[in-house]
Amino acid sequence: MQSGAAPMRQLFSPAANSIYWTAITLGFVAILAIPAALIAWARTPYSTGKDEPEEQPVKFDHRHHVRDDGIDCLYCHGGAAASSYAGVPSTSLCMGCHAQIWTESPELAPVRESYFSGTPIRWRRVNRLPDFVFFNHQIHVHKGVGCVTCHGRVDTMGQVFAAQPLTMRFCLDCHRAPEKELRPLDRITDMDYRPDRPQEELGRVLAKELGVRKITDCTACHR
Amino acid sequence: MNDERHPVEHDDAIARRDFVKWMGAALGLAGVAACTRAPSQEIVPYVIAPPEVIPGRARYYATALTLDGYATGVLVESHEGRPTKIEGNPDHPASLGATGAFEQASVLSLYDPARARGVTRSGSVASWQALGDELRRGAWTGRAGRGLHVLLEPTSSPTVEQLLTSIRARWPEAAIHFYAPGSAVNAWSGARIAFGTPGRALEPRFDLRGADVIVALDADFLAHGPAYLRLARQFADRRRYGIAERGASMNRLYAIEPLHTVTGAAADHRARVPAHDVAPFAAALLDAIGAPELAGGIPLPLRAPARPYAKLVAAIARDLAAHRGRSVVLAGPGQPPIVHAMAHAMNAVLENIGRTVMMAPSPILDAGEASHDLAPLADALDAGGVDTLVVLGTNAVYTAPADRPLHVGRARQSIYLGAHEDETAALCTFTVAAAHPLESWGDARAFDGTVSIVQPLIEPLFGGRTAADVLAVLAGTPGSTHDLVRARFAADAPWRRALARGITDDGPTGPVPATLRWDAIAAAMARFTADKGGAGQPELEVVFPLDPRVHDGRFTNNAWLVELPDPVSKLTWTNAATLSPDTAARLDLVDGLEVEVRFQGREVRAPVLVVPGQADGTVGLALGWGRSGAEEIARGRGANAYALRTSEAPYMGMGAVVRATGARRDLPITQRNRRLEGRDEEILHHASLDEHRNAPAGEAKKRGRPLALYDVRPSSTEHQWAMAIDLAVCTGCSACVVACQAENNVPTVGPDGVLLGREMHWLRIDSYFTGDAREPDVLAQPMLCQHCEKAPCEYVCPVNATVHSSDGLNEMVYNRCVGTRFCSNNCPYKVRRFNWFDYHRSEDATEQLVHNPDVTVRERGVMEKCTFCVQRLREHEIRNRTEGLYPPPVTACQQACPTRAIVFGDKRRPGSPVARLSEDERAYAALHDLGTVPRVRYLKSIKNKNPELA
Repeated sequence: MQSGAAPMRQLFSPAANSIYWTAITLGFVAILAIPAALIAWARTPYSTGKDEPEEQPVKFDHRHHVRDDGIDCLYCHGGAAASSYAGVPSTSLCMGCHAQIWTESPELAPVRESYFSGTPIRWRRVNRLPDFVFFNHQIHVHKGVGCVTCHGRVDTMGQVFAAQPLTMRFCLDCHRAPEKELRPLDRITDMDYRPDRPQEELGRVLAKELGVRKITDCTACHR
Repeated sequence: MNDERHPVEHDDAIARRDFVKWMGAALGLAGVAACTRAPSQEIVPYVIAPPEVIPGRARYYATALTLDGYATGVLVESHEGRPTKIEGNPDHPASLGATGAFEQASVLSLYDPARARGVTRSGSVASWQALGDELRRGAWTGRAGRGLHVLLEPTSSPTVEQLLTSIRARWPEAAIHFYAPGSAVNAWSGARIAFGTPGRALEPRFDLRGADVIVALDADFLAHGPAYLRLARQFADRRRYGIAERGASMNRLYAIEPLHTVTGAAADHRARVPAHDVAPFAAALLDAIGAPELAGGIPLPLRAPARPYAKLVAAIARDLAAHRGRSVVLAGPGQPPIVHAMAHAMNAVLENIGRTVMMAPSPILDAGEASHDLAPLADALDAGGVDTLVVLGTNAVYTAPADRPLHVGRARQSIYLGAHEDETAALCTFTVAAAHPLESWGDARAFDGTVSIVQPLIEPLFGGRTAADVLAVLAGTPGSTHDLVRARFAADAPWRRALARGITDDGPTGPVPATLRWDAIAAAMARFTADKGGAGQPELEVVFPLDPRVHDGRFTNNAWLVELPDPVSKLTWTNAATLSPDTAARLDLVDGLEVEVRFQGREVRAPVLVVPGQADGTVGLALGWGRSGAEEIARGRGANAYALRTSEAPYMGMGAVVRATGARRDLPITQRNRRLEGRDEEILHHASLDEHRNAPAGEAKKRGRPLALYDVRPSSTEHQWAMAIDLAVCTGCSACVVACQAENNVPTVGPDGVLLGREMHWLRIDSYFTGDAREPDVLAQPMLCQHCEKAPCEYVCPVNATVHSSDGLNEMVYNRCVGTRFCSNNCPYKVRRFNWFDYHRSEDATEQLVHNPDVTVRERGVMEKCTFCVQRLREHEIRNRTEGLYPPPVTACQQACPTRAIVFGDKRRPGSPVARLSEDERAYAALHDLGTVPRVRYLKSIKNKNPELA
């Protein structure tokens, strides 16, 4: 640097320090806040799809079939008692009744079309689990967990929506203390079921009677 | 900076700063991407649900898979009409519930996207109808079939037999040929010499249950052949636990072989004998046993080359003579007919025939007839006498002897029914996609004549047809193959029963009385001159074995099989010119050097692989590689041994020349160090039977719980899962490796991945050489997650992705894993595998069908390892707790194991096999002193050495 030259311009403005500290602080906040926000976001109903009805290809109304007609859940979703997968009824099962009643209904046109053309109805999935979760209906149904516990009052839903978030916490709450949700085996599909005595007391009795285990091993669901 | 002292060192496409920038951007975008919702999914139910199907629950169907014409009965697991896994059929005589690697991997071949599709004519799409029309228009139709040639794989199918009979009746001049490189023509000829029965050649059926002494003359009977699963089971049943007390009942196996095979590795005594010296060895052995009825004795020139083995021959002869009626001599299919005849003679002299060896007509159609020779077809093609050539299911252009190639183009028209667009398809006018056995109706006989129905589990994915479909067109038989197979049953009940059980009610065909013709054997011996080439200069012999992974080349497009390490050499993804250490040293060759193997004026290039235990002066080059068809995986891998193999030397030949080309190739080998480095006591216990009897007490210290500062005892839940692996009966055949791969969606990584040590097998077979470096014993040890009660991996996982379950499993939680690989680093058994890439991502919709729906398909960045087939355990628990009395769970490896070396079960159940074996006096824990308390216990390997040879 030669003497006599004009004084050098300041490299940093007076606000530089404040900007620097603000940026550092924001950086640290972001490190904590962004993951926290993502974790929180994943639990919002928007993310889990809870309470949000899916538009189905057939305007099937559970209110009518369950409440008015009194059809048991297992009539259509029979796999729930015998398999990991509850199942969606085949078109022929629908036609078992609808070949006799409402045969002309325009609402049922897609069902008739499926049946006569042999192309399956493509339903929208409502209750989603990630691919690394292996849920088994059979054991839950046989150990006193009612349909309503996870699926809600389907008999009041015009269009079915997920009644529960189906997050890992939701599963674990029950796996850690199953007695809070157990009901007698003959009331599994009962939508209006109310325990006739305090649930804690009944749950403990049922857990013992049915041999319910509190399974929290990872491989119970993740394989 | 770009001067001489500071050259630009890396001319990377991506500079470091750019890389960091992109990474930052990717990270940010990944965060944004996380804020999307899971995609909406569909549920597509049946239109009309099959009454037997419950979605989500696997069903099993009995069918059969054939190899070289012989059937192995299997049960196929099907998920909503999608076959995913093959198991053995316990009711089938060739399976007894076990499966080999080929059966396990066949489900991957089913979904192979490289499979041929539909019907093509000169490369463009044609119709099945057009093919039928062309077939009926051939010039031969007016000449009683002259000019029609049909080439099939050897077959045992009663339906195909019936169709061929119709064709022969309708077109008496038509020629029917059978060809497979692995067919048993030498064995049939040998039986013809020895017994001379008319009609179908006889085949020996062995019953090793009653065999105390077994001599295998270049016979890999524990890993190859129509009944190998059964023979391996019977062999192992005489070597199992409790042998210290019942030691007298342990059998003894002598293996005489040029190349190192699974049978050689399992043998108590193994002699490395060049392939050409096996016949002299057999002659010397017969001489030592004594054949008084053989006029003139055994010609000296025949047995003279066996002089170096005199001590061994004498010892084996004495051992055999001491076990008359309780011994077996087997000859390998590659050996010339005279060796088979001599094996029959030895079995006759030793009074084994009728006891441990039954002679019965071969189930293979026309066995022992001239139609099993390819030469007449090659001649007819060259002479222009072929109008229409129909090749059904055998890639004969590729597998034909090099000196008699099939000039398919000289036929006016040719039709090829094949699984792939392979070498034969390239030359044929019409190609028809062959249906996979899991897509076909059919039938086939097992080695003992038991008939199985082949039933389809799925509609042909690519419009495939069966050989019977094509033959039916030629025979003018109306109706589908299903109708033909069904029509062989008079009533519905036996048909249904056969479909359900996998075998028909008829049972096996009976053995026939067989009397040895000593005069014919004497005449054959006089005729036989050992092909020794010129005297003096030590010559190399070349041997072409069937490959234990790809057989004759038909499985070279199956990634599970080509990545399966060879049971002895641990080589993957290629074959190699194998040499003994001494021969390699003499020729100045080392592993990976490329050589040119020249034999009878033809040559191929292959990398060298030094295999201890191979005979000196022998070059081994496995068949089935160096494919040039259109298959993506198979094409161009390894060296084509068929280019050297001639009709005179289909298995072995003298006068090979090996010369280094100067090039090097990296060999994808999964286990480089084969020495135990003196750690036998820590890793692999082994002893001879006598040593074991004399000193079992010293091992107690290896079995107790090690001292520990804090002890983790298993919790008291219902089950405590454990495994025991009996190294005395494990042959290292590797069926379990493929079974595990099929059950657990284990990906393949390719040769480059193997070179980097990234293979993903959850279960591997470690194999070690012990003893003499030239003639080592080979000890196989299946190595899988040991499910340590105090697992080192669990302590170091920062995210608790690997934890212990209450029933004793070391659990791996993929969705928690962040891929630090600390666990793998801390695992003393090195059984954890890391997904370096999304190996499954490139799979198309067809390939994905092979996945087991009960097991997560892992993605990149996740650690994985053996789970003890936890999906089967949980299924068992659920079914047991809801339906009651569900059979105990078996792991995939255990289910496949031919010798039942792997036993799995609940350690807490008193008297359960696994509890008993874990407390066996031979049981030990690998690396016991580390205090990991593994749930897998190994049982000491025991070899029943002949005291005379010790």
